[in-house]
Amino acid sequence: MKKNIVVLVLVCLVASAVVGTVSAKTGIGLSSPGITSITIDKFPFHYSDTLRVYNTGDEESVYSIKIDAPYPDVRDWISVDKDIFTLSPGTSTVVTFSIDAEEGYTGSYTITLTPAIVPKEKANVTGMFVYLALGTPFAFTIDVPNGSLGERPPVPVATPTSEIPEIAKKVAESESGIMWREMGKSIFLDMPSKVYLGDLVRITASFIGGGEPVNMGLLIVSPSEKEYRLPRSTEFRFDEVGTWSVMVVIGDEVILGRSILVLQKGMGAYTPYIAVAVLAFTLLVTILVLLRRKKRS
Amino acid sequence: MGSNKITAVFFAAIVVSATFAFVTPAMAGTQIEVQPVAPVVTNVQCNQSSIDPDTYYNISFSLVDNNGINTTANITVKTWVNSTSEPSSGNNRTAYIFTWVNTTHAWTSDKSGYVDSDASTNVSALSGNSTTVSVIFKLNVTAVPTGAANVWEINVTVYDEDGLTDYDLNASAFDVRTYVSGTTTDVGVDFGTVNPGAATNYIWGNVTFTTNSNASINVTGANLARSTGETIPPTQFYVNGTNTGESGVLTQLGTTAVSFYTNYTQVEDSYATGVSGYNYNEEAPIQWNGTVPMPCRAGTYTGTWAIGIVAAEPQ
Repeated sequence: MKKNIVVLVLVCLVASAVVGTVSAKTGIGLSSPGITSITIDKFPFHYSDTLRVYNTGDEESVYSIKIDAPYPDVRDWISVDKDIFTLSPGTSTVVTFSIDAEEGYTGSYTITLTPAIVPKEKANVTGMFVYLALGTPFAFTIDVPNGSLGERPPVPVATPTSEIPEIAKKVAESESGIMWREMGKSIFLDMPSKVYLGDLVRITASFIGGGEPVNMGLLIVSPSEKEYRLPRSTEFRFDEVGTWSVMVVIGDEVILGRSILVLQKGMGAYTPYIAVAVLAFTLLVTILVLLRRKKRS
Repeated sequence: MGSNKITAVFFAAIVVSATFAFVTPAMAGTQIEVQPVAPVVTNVQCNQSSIDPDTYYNISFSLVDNNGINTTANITVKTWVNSTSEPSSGNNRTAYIFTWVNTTHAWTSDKSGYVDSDASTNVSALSGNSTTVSVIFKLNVTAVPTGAANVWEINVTVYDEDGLTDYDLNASAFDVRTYVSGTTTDVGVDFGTVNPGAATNYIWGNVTFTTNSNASINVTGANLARSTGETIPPTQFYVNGTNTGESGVLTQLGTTAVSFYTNYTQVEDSYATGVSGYNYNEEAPIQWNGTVPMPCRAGTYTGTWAIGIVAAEPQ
């Protein structure tokens, strides 16, 4: 009996060692339409088609879709209905991509849509370490023989303005936070809702269950619209009174955001009410004094 | 009894005898010969004009048999790329054959796993003389992509119990989309600790990939950065596609994509005999190395490089 238990223990040890050494396999697949070029004969122009993205690995992974175009105005024509999402092993999802062009310059533009696995963060990295993001680029050309705006000017077309201030404003105005992208993973943003000016505060964003992507980070925006891009777990000193926005980003994509109120030291949450009360009291005293003087006169 | 009555009896006797003369032979045995009629197949189509590999779709067709649908003996559905001739057997790349027979009452594919028997129509369970038959099928990830010059055809042939037959052809049924996939067990490239100005070790890695056309593999580099902002540019590093028989080359990294396998195509074709121009679970060996610049501040440097598997253009 004792011998059997020893054998069983040894078998368990060997099995766990084998499981421990077998590396998880991450995978991605893409099925894409057979188009190589699209011609815009007339503006406005609309086109849409689909891609199917597969998880061909043996573990759940986060996927993102990057859009590359040679000019910002051409990049603005292209959109996908989901740019970051999670897939279980053996499953796939359909992603619709669209071209919506109201106007444009004459030219031939190569567009590349790259679905890719977002690598998972590795613990205790030292030395030189490179994460590998496996992707399946799909490229096609948009030809504009007669652009509604004529020939493209030699000077660069103005870069579209950032959406971050607007997103930050909406986050600051929200009471319970805003989820910008539903990516199939629950995210925990660990931070207080109220701090004092100058306090050093730890803020951590993480997936419930772990496996955070390497490019997961925080984007913190002050009331005066100063932007801070920080690691997903960081200590941050708030140096401005007012409502800040704390957003979780993966790459350049904002996933969710919550507001945090920064108060002047020595003042509490009831400070505004106290101020109103003091003002009211002062007003009352003034009125009473004035009435008394009037009575005397 | 008057002469009128005699006349009436006389006529009645004539009528009765005449009736017997006509009716009696027929009452001896009734027989109707129903002719066997050939089935009629029309309207063969796929529910999508452009299909993803490894995803189920529906081939449907109308079947009429005035002897009864349940007299169908067997049905053969063939689908193939029009650049090849109608197949006598299927393969994973250019041809698939799905059959239904009234002995098993089930749909099967000659390469197993490409028809959903439970979801497809069981013809013998039907009554009446007409129906729409559905065959729920999928194609392998190496199925030939089309969309430029070529297209996939579908032919449906039906035999009934009397050996009568009909067929219908859809010569432009659907296109197969380009498929590319890759897997890796490499979390990343760990160069470890290296002195300023020194060369790194050669680090081996691999990507296992599948494509339904020839493929290239590229890498897009990026700076390796220290938490305090110092960087090592990607141009300090090289990637080597060491399988030179599959167009592997040594390439310096940059911030734009550079191919280190320029035209990878599986040489052995046992997976789809006689049909080349694809890769199925091919393992592409990769070797990484570089040099740390001088001077370089001590610390941990990390970054993300993108490996891209790119399909050739569809045929």
